[in-house]
Amino acid sequence: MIRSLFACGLTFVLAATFCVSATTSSAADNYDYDLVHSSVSFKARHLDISWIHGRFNDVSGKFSLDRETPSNSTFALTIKTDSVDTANAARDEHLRQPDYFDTKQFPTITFKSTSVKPIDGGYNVEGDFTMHGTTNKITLVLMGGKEHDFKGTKRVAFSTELSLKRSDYGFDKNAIGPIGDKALIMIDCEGVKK
Amino acid sequence: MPEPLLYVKSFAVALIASALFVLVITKLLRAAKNNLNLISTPAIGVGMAIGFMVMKLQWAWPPGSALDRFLTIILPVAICIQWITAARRTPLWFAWLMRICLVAAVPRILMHQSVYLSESGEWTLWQTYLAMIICSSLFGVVWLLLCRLSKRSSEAVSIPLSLCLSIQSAGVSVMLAGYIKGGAVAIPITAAVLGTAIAACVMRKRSEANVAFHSDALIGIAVVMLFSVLFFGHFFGRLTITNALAMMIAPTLCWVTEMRSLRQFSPWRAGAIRVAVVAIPLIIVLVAAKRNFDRSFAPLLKNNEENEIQTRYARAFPIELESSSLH
Repeated sequence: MIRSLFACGLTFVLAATFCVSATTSSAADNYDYDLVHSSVSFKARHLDISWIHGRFNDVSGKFSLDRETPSNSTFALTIKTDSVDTANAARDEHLRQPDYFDTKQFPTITFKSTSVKPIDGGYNVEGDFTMHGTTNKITLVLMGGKEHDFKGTKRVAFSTELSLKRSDYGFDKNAIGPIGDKALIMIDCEGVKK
Repeated sequence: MPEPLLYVKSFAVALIASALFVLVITKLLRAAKNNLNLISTPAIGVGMAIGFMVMKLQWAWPPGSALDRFLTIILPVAICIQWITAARRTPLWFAWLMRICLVAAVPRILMHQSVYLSESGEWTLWQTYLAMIICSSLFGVVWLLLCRLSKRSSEAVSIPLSLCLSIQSAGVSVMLAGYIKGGAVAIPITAAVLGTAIAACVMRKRSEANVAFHSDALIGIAVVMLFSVLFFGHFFGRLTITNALAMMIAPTLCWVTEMRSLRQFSPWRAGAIRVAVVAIPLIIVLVAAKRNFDRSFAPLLKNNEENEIQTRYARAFPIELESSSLH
């Protein structure tokens, strides 16, 4: 009798714990970066008179969105540097070399959030941005976050732009040449709920 | 972008600095006068350092790229090892032990934290280690062959000169393959080895007959530099394996003068033959590298003159059609 009571009690406690943990995890929605409907593009000054545009074709990422407690949300993005594409094969080949992205040494560009704050129409996401082996703290202003249910799959999208100096990320100042130090990165990403 | 004027300046300064170092130190120190090997290693270091400064070469510490590791680890270690081995008291077995350790370590150091050694990289671990063993073996064999040849020869400048040609050709090929900074590094290195070799030979001619100078120290450093430039040029840049191998093996063609039919030549004539024979494959490789550059990278540097002409023709063509249709 005592043994069966103890067993019932233990089952109840375990069930309650599971329910509580399930409720906690369900507060944050997890999304995968949708490569088909997203893009990471960039532009850099050429001779200080025009802009060269390019994009990275191989990007992956994950983000979890906690609508109730936004500070629990996380964002992570990984860009494969080898996938650089400026619509000119010879220039792409040059950009992959150690004078620029050094793709054999630094195969990825990553962003990992460290804190998330809600703002009007989006989130202020602070995190570590690693490029060319150098990590710097940056703040992304992610605009969007509107959820859309498409054929039973929930989708959410964000857009952001950031400006950075290549020399801050260990790129050789002497190798910058006719391409400007400053680069603008535009991220438009759509997430598919897991 | 490549800066030819800066490269010329860097070459000249590195050459003069290393040569002056040898001349001044041998004048000041009597001990140095008796062992030129001992003075030639720091002379190369000084020449290279000044050449890099003139070139405004940037490197990072802690080293992030293969080039950084070459400049901050391999280069100083190679100079130190060659300096220790240059001392007359260093036993031969110990000298070769240090050299073998360096030969085994260089590929691993250069590949550190690259895609070749990462789990998700493009190579499996055994492929990487096999490549490293093959590279190290080739590196060691070339070094050993050149050292043995220098011991057999009374003339000491042709082997370092052949190595200078090879390093410079390697640098130009790496630049033509699109890795400008990696190739530019070869310029002060070549100049420093060349300046030291010339100054050491001059000093040996002026001094007594028992002066120790077998160019071993110069050969050691030059082989390490040649191998490193080719290694990161191929694995991190886009230097082809054929060109890299040809330039690594080219200096061993110095052995051609050991053929029975060429042995009767005077040391200086034999030296000239060595340099000429080594230059042949290097010229072929450079021509191939230039042709490859013209195909792949030159269009990026060209002005749009050709495009403009084509556009003009394209615009003129429909006008011609219109005028002919009027008749």
